[in-house]
Amino acid sequence: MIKFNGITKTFNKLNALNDISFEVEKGEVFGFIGENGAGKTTSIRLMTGLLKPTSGIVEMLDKDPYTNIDVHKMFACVQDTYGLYESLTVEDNFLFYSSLYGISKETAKKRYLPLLERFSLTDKKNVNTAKLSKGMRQKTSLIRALITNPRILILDEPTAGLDPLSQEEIRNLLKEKSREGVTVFLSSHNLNEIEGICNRIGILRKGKLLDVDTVKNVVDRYENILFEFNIEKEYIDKAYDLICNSVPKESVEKINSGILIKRDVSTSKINEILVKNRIPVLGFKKKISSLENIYKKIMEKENE
Amino acid sequence: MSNKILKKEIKSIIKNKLSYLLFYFILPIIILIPMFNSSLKNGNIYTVGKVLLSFSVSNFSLSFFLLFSFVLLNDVFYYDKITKLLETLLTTPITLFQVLVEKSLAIAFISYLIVFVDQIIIIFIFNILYSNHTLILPSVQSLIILLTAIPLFGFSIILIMGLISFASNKYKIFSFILPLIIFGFLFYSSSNIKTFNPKWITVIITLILSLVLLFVSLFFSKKLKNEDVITA
Repeated sequence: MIKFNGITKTFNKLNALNDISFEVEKGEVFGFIGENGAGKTTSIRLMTGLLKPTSGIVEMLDKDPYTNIDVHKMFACVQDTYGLYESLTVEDNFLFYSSLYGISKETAKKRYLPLLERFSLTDKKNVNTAKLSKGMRQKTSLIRALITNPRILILDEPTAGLDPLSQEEIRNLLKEKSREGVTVFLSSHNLNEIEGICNRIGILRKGKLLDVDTVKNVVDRYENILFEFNIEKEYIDKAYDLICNSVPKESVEKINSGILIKRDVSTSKINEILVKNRIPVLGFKKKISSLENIYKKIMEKENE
Repeated sequence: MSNKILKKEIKSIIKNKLSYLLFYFILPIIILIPMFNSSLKNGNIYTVGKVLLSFSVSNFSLSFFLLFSFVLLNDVFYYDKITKLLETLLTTPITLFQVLVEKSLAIAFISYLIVFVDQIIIIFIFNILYSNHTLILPSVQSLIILLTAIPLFGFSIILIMGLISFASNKYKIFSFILPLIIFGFLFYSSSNIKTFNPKWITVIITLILSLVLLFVSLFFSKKLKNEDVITA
């Protein structure tokens, strides 16, 4: 559905994107994460036909979005600027945008009325969008995109500025759309959100794609699992030596409260070793790093 | 051409700029009628009247047409650019060329309509005030200029200004060129008001110039790419 093949985009001799390749399949929710200026917006502009790559091929449903205007009917984009005419009412915005896609007034109404109801915006139908709150504009902008029944939905920070309930509502809607076969491309700083709904993610930094994989694989790759064995201070050194006999030394760390093992191990086996050597285990915790921690780790590693 | 943007822009202008439109609708009448009054003091009412109306129909019409367009340009083009509405618009299935042409047509349509109706009212009031049973009308040449060259020339100028507002981040500086042209043209042509008499050759040259300008503006509009607008 979305294909970036060796994309480089240069602005005034500066590489905004550097040889990026990835593909997003039908029905997939793909998350794009990266710092400000990493190249997320440039990527979205390339896939929506606003920019032409300096080199490489961008394809949306096997067509170049920069030269093929018909493919624009197949996707809809929600930018962080909402894209709503403030002088028009919510309904007029919907009708205007749907007319650009050749959608009749009746069809558009059938599509946006249930969505307005779902997002509790029915009473705002005849209100100028200038009078809406930030969150309401965000939802209105999403409905504007959904009216066109897109096969690909491109979203830039879709839940920014929304209350937790509305965020949840949007996440559920995106999951529903994905189940219906809509491909969702999501650029966000909210890593918990990305972790919660995305099948795969792409991590972008300074125009380079550091990793593309499922959230689980990315997290696994960067030492996700931590086992913490709480041990009395006097036994820590002995426990460390014993554990190092069965677990690679680089994965074992002494901490104030005991021992930290940074890899997947058989905890019952470790416990057995400790108990057999009369080391009292005061407690045990299994920690799984969140995407947020992993992301920080990746960025720190890249900064070194 | 889908004309969806054209319709939307006309609707927006009428809804949001009604007081502005009414003001500019009345302005030419307020300026021109007293001006005629002072010019008619010397000379034959029919000869001078015809000259004055011809001047009003051709030269004043063009100046007012461009003057109306000047303020609308900011709202229709520049606003969309700075608020990034244009970016959203270009992700939809319409081309940049369509956006440019339909927005320019919307401004040209509204401005021309006001100018055209104004001129009919001015001719009507002029005849009520000064004519004695004989209808005084502007020359055929000036009427042809009003009906052909003015809309073509005006539309082309709007399109060029729209093009600049989309493709240049120095639009604010460029935007001052238009009122300078308008007032320069008005000042220059007003000095010859009493001898104003457009000949057929003037009509043909004006028409050819308008057509050339139209082709030039359409050519450059077609050449403008999404990337030029996004990176400007």
